[in-house]
Amino acid sequence: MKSVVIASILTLATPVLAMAQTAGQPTGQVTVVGSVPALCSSGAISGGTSVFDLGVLIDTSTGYLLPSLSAPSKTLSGAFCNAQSTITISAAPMTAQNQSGPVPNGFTNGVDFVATASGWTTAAASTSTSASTQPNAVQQQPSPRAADIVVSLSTFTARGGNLRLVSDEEYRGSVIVTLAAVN
Amino acid sequence: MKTLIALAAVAAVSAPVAAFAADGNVAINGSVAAVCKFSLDNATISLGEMADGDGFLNAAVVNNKTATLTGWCNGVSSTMAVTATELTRSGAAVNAAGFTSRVDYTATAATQSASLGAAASANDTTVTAGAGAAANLGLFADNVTVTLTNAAPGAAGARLVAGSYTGNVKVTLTPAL
Repeated sequence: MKSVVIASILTLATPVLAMAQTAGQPTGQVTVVGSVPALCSSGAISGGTSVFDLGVLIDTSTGYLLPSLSAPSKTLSGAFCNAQSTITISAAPMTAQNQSGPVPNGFTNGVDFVATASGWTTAAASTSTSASTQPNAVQQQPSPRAADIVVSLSTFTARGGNLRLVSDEEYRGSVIVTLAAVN
Repeated sequence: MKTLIALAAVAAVSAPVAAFAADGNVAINGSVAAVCKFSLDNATISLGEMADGDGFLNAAVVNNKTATLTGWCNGVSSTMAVTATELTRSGAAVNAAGFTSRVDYTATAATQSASLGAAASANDTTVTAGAGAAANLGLFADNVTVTLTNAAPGAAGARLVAGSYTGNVKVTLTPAL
């Protein structure tokens, strides 16, 4: 009789030992999501002015455009795009701002030039105010980029050919550089 | 003489009969396994726009953002640990100087331990891989608040590449007796 009681206790004890354990490790998940939109900035123009001041445009002894005409380049400092981008340059020729009426034969009231934006793409973006097509005006940058963009002017020519310039207090043109993110 | 022998025999037989009257014992045992569970095991922190106007990380958008899970543990030696995974940009990798596709942060999971009578918290930084140190938790049945802090771009001073970013915080409860 005594041995039977002991056997029963052992039978009960076996499942007790099995239950006194730890379960698995549950996990809770917090997903964190955010976004960054495509963004470009052309930065700030070095020197604080956006004007290319060419001074006197002509050789005062001949009246023709100075062959050595030039101006220091401008730098767009701190330009960036955080995505693929395109850089586009466009320009308008310099024209006499106060001259009116027809231009006399042998004279012109415009000055063409080439504008170039370099430092952003492998091939610089450039445009000519005298050309009807601008195959190099738009360049692709395949990666995000932060860099300075140097804008320079060159190849000044009298509009219409080898003509003298009409006198005017101000010849004015423009150059526009555009950075655009590509989504 | 013969009578005396017979009495002695009766006495010898009656002694083992008295031993069988002793009590029998039945032991009753039970147990409670150490268990931890999340009754709310999923949440999302939506940060929205993470860059400032100059393209750099706006850490204020990330820091102190919270989400709430709910769970319990019944083991007095239970622990809690956090594994945080950095925010990374979806899509193909982009390698460009001055830019990064990664945002690091620290995630902290905090709750109230019933057995410790105090707050319990564990954290992990995404700067280093793997889980952070486990914290003693003990018995608890409460919300677990997950908070993000110390947000930083993957490369110091770098702007963020445009795109959608996703990270993850895993809170692990380990039951223990």
